[in-house]
Amino acid sequence: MSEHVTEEGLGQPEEPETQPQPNSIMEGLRKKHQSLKSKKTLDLPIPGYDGALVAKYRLIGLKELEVIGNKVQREFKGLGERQKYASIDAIILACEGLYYNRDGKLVGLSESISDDEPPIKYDPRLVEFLNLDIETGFDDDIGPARRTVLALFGGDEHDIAILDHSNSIGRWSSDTSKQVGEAFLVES
Amino acid sequence: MAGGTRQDTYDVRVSFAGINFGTYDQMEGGEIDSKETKYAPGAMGEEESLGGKRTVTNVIVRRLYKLGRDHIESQRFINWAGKAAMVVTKQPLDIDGNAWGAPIVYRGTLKKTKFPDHDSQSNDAGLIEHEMTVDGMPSGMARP
Repeated sequence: MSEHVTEEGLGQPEEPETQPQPNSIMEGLRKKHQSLKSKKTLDLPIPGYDGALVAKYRLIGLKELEVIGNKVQREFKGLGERQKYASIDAIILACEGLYYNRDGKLVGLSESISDDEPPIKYDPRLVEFLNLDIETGFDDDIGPARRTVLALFGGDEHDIAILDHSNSIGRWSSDTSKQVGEAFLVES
Repeated sequence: MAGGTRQDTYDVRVSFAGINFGTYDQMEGGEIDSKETKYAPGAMGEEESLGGKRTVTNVIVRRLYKLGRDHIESQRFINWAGKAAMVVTKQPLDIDGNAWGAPIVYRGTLKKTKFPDHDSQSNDAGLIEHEMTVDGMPSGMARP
């Protein structure tokens, strides 16, 4: 090891380098890569439920989004409707389950559904569990899954909340290493 | 809501050895049957049903045989027959093509893979077919 002269005298050990060494850079990047690969779900509160109801979403890829885009383009003429139903369909597709936030811990909505069974999503079980009305006030052409999302978010007039919710999933999908604006996530 | 389905309103997905192979076009089998037992009491009494043990018939899935998707996996299918874990997930879809309700999930072992038939006179689509023997009972949708 080389030595250098200091005010205190000779023989003081050299100060450690402050610049990161190539090995530590590589290690850091590898860790980030591993963490990126492992972050595959996002816990996002449903607006209007004070953080008590949380949806778990998976990553959806461009291929899946393209299928949704083509579908709503065929079904709807107006840009607003296309955007709304593309957002709803993306929310339905990405959803891995809906949970109750019990003091920061996500638990299944219904105790009668065991851990081995698929969790409640935007489906008839949610309609039954929350007693959602998906029959009145909706266009007859809209299927029950879309009606369930609309009903859960408070109805048609809350469509901006749905767009914002879907955008949050999109922002997270673009970089899953980020905390996606911690405000969106469940406090633990 | 009536919510009637057609035979095409399902998304049947298949995985082998934990690897997702995506959507299949046709599925049959997976019937939950039982071996009935009847008991005839004395004095010419009416027969009584005692119920019976449940069984599940084999599940068969098929899809269009695509060279870039299925043919490149042909060696794996050959190796996996009789030993690879196989999962078939039958997800109902609503009229918009969105998932509606929990899927019916069958778990078991790949029994047989049948590559497409060849007939120089035929113009039919070539399908790959997999047959699975089912472990236990499938899981369905439970009400909350």
